[in-house]
Amino acid sequence: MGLFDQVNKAVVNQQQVNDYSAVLQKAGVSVQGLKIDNSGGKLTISGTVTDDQTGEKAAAALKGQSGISEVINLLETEDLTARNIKMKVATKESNLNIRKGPGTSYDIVGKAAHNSVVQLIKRMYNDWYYIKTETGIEGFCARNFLTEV
Amino acid sequence: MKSILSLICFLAFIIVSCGNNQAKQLANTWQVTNIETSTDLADSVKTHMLENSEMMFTKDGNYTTTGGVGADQGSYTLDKEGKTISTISSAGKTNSVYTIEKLTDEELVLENSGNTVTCTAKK
Repeated sequence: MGLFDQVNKAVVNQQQVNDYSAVLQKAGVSVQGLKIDNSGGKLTISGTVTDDQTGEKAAAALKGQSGISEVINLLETEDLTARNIKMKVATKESNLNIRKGPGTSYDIVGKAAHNSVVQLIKRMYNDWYYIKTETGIEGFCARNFLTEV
Repeated sequence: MKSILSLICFLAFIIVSCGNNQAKQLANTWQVTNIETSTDLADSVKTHMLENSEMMFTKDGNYTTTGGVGADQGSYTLDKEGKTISTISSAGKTNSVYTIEKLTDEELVLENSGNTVTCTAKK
């Protein structure tokens, strides 16, 4: 403690964020609004990434740093709603299954018609997208059945 | 020989007087008005740290800080030349040394760990 302890602490924290940002940059990972808290080697990271894979890559890159025993990954996937990205359902002729989670093991919550247009909400893990159909159904579907309009 | 002794006494008097004056000037309540850091901080962080931040030094050698710069209290000593302030925090008895970059009746500028805090005397 001292006369302006919080100033010195904020600077040390910012220097650490800058150092870790450089590590992420070197690993080819971009995190918007990166915040890092280091409590005795337990690193908590938050911010926004383009997809879940990028988030996991970021956590893995930081876990390899000296003095880091654990990385708590609070990174969020970028919400693309405001960007209004439209995608066309590019199945051969069938309708596209929309599921509860990112994988075929999850229940089907609805279908998007062949050649219909859906809105991309989030890019998720393992090439799965979270989308919203024109009829308002929201859920996960495989990326390879969608093409950008 | 006599003149050399007189000169030494005179210089010692000047140094002590200077230190006393610094001590008088420092014993005040200071409003933190600017923060310069060695690594850039976001404006929002700086603004938060400036909010209601004050440092109070008393003549009997105690200090209290409040607001965004950190809340703390303890004791302080000013070196003879009035160039540094050493503090001992009541919380944990940790000590720190601050360089006085400027001290007038109106303004106090302190440096520690490459970070500089400017304060204005409260009327």
